[in-house]
Amino acid sequence: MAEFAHHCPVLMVITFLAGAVLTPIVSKSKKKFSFWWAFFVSLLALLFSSCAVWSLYTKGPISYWLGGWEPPYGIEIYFDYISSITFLMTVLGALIILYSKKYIEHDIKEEKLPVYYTLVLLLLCGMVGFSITGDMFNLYVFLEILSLSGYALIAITEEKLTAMASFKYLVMGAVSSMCVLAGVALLYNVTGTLNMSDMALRLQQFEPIATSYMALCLFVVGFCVKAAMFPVHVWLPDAHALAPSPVSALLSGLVIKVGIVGLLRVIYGIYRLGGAIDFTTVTNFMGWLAAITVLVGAFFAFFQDDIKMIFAYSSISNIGYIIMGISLISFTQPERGYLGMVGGLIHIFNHAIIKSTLFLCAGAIIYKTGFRKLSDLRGIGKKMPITCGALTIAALSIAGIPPTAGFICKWFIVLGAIEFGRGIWAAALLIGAIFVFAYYIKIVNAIFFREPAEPILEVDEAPLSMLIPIVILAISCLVFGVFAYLPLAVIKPAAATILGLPPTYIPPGG
Amino acid sequence: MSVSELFYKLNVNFNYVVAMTLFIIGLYTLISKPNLIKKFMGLNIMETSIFLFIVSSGAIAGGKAPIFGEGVGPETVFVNPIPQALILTGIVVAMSTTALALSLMIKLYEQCGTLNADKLKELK
Amino acid sequence: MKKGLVVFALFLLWILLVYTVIVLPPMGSPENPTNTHIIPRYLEKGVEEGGAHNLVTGIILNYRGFDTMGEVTVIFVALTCVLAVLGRENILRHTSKAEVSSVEKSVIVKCVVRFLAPFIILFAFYIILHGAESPGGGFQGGAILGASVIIITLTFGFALVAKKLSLKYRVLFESAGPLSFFIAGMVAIFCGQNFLTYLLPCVAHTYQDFVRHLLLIMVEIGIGVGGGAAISSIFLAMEKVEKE
Repeated sequence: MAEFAHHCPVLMVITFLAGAVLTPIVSKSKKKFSFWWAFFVSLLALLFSSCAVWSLYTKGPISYWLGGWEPPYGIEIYFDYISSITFLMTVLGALIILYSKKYIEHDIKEEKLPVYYTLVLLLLCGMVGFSITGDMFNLYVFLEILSLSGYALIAITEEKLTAMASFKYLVMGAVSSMCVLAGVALLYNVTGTLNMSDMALRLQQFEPIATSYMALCLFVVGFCVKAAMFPVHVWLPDAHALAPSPVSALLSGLVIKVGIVGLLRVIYGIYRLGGAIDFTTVTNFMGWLAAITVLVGAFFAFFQDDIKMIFAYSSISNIGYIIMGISLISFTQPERGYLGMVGGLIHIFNHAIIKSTLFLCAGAIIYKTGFRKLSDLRGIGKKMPITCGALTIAALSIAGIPPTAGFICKWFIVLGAIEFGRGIWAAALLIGAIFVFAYYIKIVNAIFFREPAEPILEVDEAPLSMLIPIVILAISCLVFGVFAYLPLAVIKPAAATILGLPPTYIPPGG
Repeated sequence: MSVSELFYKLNVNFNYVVAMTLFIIGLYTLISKPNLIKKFMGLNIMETSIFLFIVSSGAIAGGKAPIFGEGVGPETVFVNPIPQALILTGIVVAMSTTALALSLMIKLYEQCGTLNADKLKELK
Repeated sequence: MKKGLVVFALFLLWILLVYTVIVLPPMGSPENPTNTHIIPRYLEKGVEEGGAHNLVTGIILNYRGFDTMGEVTVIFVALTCVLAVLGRENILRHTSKAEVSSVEKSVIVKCVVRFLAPFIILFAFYIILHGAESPGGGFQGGAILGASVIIITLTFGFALVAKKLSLKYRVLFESAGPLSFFIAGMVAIFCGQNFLTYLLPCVAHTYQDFVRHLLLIMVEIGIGVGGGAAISSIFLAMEKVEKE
């Protein structure tokens, strides 16, 4: 069993990869079969990822030497607490593939079905590989796999403007990948190695501090574009709103989190561990930008009429929360950043669930009615009670109303910011939360308490294959809010190890 | 650092300086040209500049290509093979990005009838 | 005004970047960290451990095989992306105006391509198979293979090539790269080794080297054929008929 768990991280990547590559072959004669194949592959990967996470929490991190070469010489897979996000990726991946069945058959031509599932599996392969690898260049390769498949998934429908949204994303994404590659190149030149932990060790032995600092800045710029932070967020609204809804759920729920995983890997995995340079200037700058991001996202979301556009801008705002949480760090006293880190990590987890629910509900509504403007969707709640109920739960959750999942993360981030002495960040977060509350009240009011317009009257509930993922996700929004200790038990050791504290660390005062 | 030292360092790390200059030229092309194809050419210049940087960082003065075989003695100096392996990957990635971008441009032209970024903005 | 601002900002960035690179250790010196840390072992034992006289090939296939697996996947991703955006080429749409190219190719061009094409393909396979001993390898050979398909398409027209390279087989060839890595890796896992180990202890000692060569050649051919097929498919998908 232990032997099997040891192979699990790599098997996860391989399952997605081989599944994706085989999709066009197995569905050559029967295009619709590609759904069942993709669903099977995602369930298999879910099995491997749960096994790997189980092994992580019982026996500690897994270090896997590919090809049997010891780390600085070969590529190492390092499955640590940050990598446990792969569990979330595989679960959401399976649910979204199940949801895609009806939605995508309706949205794109039948001959493109295998292409769609291939790209979704490749996107998941890239994300999983990105989160588990312990080698800087390998990180770049997986970053490219996931970015390329993300760009293409936006433009897969024939709708107008999708190609433009995708191209905008591609240009900004390509520049950001280039920044990451330049950072890898500079660090390789300084340290002579590509393995992350080896790099951290060797970084402190070498003189040119300016180069390491520049590399850090390039990494931060690169990953912040991927995560859509304030000055470089312009690609996100169009891309996420115009993509088919299951793809929006994947992009908003998981792909932008990849940028955060990259930041965690670089800042905490290399620079904090190396301890060579004081990076708090950079993290402080990130925190201020994050505070602006929260406000900008919330502000623009308020003036949108298209529901998917609202959710897209709200994603920007939420990325601001997460980055604020993880940038509350002091170089000399790591304990001070603990609460913010817990809040940021738990918001990665909760936002993925909540935003996927929102986009999937929006997709179900668009699938049934064909409308996406809030003004056209008045009174839809009476016709599609389950979908709209789930939408309401998720909306309350993202606004941070206490019994739901969104409350706990904002609470931790605000506490962390205040304890860190950044009252203004906390204030920005609270003002943002008020805006969020206002526009989600607007949505709930429009769909439930207005008289339905003429075309809405004949609409009925969405098909079962769409309702199952929506209901599962909506219930988990509630469960992870009421029983908040469940995700906290998983997140706390992760936050402690990222900050360099022992996994069982308990902050003073509980 | 003094002026002579600056010139010495510029001379020694000349390849790196050229790579960074190309990077900026590419970035300028990307920002200032309105035509999408030219924008993408700028992106390709940036990619190439980084490949130049990586390959240069593995160079050794007087080194040979790292292939063992005839004419190789124990005292032969080889250049570092890792950067060469890395940029092989980099070139493939650049090619893939270019293929996707070109096909997106074909679709964009079919949908909107222009490849000029300024006109595309108005169209929206 | 705006342009001046951009140029000024880029100039500042240029100075910053140049400063960060000139403080690096002098280029080309054997004492650089890049040349002293990992390389000695590769130079010392690389040929024996990697199974190739060309160290670059040894690193690509063996020490950093997982990167290369990602790389062939990127080619496959590019192909799938192009298919998602443009769709497969449609032979039926072409047959009506199949050979109506705007300029008739001259006899000389046709003759020369017809004469050279087999040699180009042969050369591609030479590069693929000889990558372990001399400059070359799967990617380079694959690129030449793809180029040969492109030059034939440009001379003899789209319809002929699309018909000859039937989709039935091309779909299989396109995924050859990642699949060959998958097979080689899974063989290692079933032998109880880590993924992508080529030197398998479960094989009798005298055959170990032979099995490793077999696996490496399979992977090289997979990369080459997969890359070539993907490049030609991308090219064919981009070939569009003007709308009537």
